[in-house]
Amino acid sequence: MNVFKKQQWFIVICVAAITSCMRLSAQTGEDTLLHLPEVVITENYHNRAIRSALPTQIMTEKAIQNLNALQISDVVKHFSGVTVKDYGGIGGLKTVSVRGLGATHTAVGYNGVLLSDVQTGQIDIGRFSTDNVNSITLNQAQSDQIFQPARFFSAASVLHIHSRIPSFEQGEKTHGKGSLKTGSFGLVNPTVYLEQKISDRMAASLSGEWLSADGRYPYVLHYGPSKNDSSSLEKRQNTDVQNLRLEGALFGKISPTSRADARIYYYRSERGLPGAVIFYNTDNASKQRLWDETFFAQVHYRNDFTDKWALQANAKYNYGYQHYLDPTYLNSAGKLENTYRQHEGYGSVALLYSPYPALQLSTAADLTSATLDANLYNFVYPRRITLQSVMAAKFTAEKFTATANVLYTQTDEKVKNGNPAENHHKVSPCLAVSTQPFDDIDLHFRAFYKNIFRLPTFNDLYYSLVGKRDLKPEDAQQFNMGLTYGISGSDHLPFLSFAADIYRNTIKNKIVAVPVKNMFEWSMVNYGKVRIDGIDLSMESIFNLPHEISLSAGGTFSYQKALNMTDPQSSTYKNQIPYTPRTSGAAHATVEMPWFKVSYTLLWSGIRYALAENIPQNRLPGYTDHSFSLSKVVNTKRHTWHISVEALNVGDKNYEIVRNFHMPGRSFRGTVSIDF
Amino acid sequence: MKKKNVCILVLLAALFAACSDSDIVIDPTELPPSETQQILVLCEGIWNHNNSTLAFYDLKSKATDLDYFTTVNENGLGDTANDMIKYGSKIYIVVNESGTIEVIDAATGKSVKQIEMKTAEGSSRQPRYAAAYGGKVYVTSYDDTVTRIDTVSLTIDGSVAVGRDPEGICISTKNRKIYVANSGGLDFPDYDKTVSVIDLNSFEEIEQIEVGLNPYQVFADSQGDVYVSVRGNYADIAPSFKKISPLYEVSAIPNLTVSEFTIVNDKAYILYNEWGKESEVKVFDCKTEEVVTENFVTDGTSILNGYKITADAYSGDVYVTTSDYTTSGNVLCFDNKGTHKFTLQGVGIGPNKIILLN
Repeated sequence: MNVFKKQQWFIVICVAAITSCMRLSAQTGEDTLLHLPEVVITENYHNRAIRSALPTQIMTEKAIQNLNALQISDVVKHFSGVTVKDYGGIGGLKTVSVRGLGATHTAVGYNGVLLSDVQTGQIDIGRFSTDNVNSITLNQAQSDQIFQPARFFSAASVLHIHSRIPSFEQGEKTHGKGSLKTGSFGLVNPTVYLEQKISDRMAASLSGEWLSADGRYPYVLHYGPSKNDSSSLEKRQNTDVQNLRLEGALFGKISPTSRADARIYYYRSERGLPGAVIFYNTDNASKQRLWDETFFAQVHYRNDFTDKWALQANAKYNYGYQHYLDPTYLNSAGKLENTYRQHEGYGSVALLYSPYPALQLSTAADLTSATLDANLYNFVYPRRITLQSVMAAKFTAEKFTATANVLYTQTDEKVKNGNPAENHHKVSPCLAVSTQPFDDIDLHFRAFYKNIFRLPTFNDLYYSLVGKRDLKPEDAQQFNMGLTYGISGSDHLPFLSFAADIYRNTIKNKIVAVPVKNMFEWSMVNYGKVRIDGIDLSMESIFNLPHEISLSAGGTFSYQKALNMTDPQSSTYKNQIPYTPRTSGAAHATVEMPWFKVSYTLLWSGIRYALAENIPQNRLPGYTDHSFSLSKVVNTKRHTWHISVEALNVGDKNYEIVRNFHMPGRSFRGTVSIDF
Repeated sequence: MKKKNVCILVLLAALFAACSDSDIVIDPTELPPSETQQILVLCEGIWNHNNSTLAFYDLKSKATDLDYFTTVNENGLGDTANDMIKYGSKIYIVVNESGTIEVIDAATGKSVKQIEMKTAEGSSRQPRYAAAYGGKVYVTSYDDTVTRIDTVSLTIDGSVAVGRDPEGICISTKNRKIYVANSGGLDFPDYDKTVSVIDLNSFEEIEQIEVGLNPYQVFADSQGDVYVSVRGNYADIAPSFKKISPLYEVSAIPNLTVSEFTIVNDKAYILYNEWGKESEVKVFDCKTEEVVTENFVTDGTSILNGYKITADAYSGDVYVTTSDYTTSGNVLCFDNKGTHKFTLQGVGIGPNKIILLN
């Protein structure tokens, strides 16, 4: 028992180390950067997911490789409880709504710091590639590790992208990876990744990526709902995209107890915005273009002073630029051209105190200052300062874990002209418990409650005429009960895990646009109420078969009864909210043989409604999307080559996730990469 | 029996026209009205959803087809059908985002022709509203033009530049002129302020009359006066209701707040709506130039989210559509005394134009 406990602790420590970009050197007493075999990492992640009181789903680098994923959004579609609103194609906007709450309630973290878009409140996860991603986690409520910045407590769910961390074999100084991906619709995607050991205490990584595609995929356009109605074969237009991503990171061990990392990130993209497919106007409907630039620099510092005290500090500066052009706009200028600039400064300090092995207490304070400039008429140039502080406690006994926290949020809003929006003071609690009732069975029961909100975005508040200053935050309540079960250790079945959760989420004061007097006058109001009752199921397994063949398979199922509870008089009352399937799921299976690897992925969704009324005219049919890949590893004397071929949407299913934004049909991709 | 009556009337009218000294041929728009048998309701749908619909109701048999156009033609209308007019035996449906004028046979609903309304670059010219007279249909488009369509060949046979982003269009047969409300809406906040006047014979813009910020709808009465609803800037400049005399004198009609209006038999039916409140209907007599009915609805029927208004020239019935822009709206019918006759529930999203067929 004692040994087992020790092992458990070791796993917990390992996981903490990996996921928070830390080194284990303090614990292991080594000065070299730690290297963990991938299998251990995978297993540890699964253990963490099983033990967490807050539902946690993790995709490791290896799992991601088997998902036929180009963008982060392709991975996220495999999580349960998730609806990715995908406007189709590589350049199309992709946002994540978790458990029916809407994309504005999902926080997206990147290597320990949240990404933010104060203008729209949602992150386009299509902009992040899976290249050099170490893991992607999705937490309901938040991570159950309490030692983190306050901002990570501030959303209904957190999607966190972790990049690779340099690790070196004995005597190794430099290594890296280069890859070239190409495929249908003009896809060209070279990447390069380099890790450099500078000293025993310092390492660096560099990453660069270029992606371009013309994106001109064919689709079938149906001009009516019935089978007899006419249809035509079309090609998506104005879908080109060119992305450049450059990233650099420095990892250092400052003292035996402290370490820091610093990161810079630069992304720029130019793309055509194809717009919705419009009947009888498909060829030249849109000539709109969008240019994006994102730059951020972030630093992270952590010091584990003693067994009892630890401190971490994070800081970030973020610059976001968007330039939108519609050269066919029928105004006097003959074009509509908007530029938006966001600046964000962020700082966070967190302290962890562990008075007893079973008890952790933490506190964190975050300060964020965000501004938005836009070349819009009468623009008010808003600036928001947000102070978030959190007190959290975690109690870990042999068979019982409890986590509780209270987040306090305070905003200070200023504008250059006119009146600023109201300032908000909010207290948001969260409580999570889990228990393992039987000694020798890895079965856990868990439950959590969280009360959280999302602030009105700058668009909600200040957008010309439409925005309203007196908006209240949108409130979300989450209740969750579930169980997890895991088997590990046997030779044939090294790993099996299962998670099932039922939940009820409610939203009140949902921020929606309503017409004031006519279709030219709209206004944002706190009007909507939504109630979501749902079930999330997920399963992961690894089987070892004879002849060194292994099979890993998993799947998720989501049920979301997401009802509009706003107005009992309305025809939309108790109707399923738009773009939220009642049932959806994903599955994946990979057979790994000594010669090559075959992967299969499935995404499926039941019917959805494109609009608030659940009437046949608004119905979007369900879909299934099957993809396969074949890959092989070739070891030469000095290098390891990976070659893979993917066939995506092999059934050539013509489907839409967002109405009139068709998804690509059957397509192919090939990748060659080399580890050096 | 009724059809016969109309035939006789048409014949008489034709005879009368032929016998008179002037060469004026009676225009389909000037035919005397007759009893309504069927109703067509155009619903604009939601922008980018390709869900504009044409609903069909038979008043006697109660036969209903909410997606009449698709049923008959096996293809949808397109995106944001904004207006439709009946001229002669055909109906012209103006589809804004698709950039088409769908010409259908009024009796069968069958599409006769789809007229393209595209710019040189191929994008939609964004046609908005239509009016017809003298064998021509005139369509305003956001590319700052009025397009003329010949109703025999069903082809575009001319185009004239007007003010910015024209919306409403009407024809004063008395003045023999076309009036166009130039909104300038796409130049927000720099709205246009004018109504363009186009000579019907030369098809040239002959005047731009300043009426106020952001003109929206125009309708003519029989004496040559043209009424304009002016929307203001939704901020410090309030909406107003204006009259243009045949001599282009502009006067404000006081104490009237107008969301939508129409003129039928020299009566302006005026709808006013504010979100969350009951809509009001007033009747303004264009001859005496005063409000003759303050509250048209007399039986306490409540109209929520009133959207558009139409009147039956034959019976005096008034149709009010409702819309919240996101869900299916209704059509409420009142008799000429303001008593509720019937409601068509859930017609489609944004019912914006009604055509009464006989």
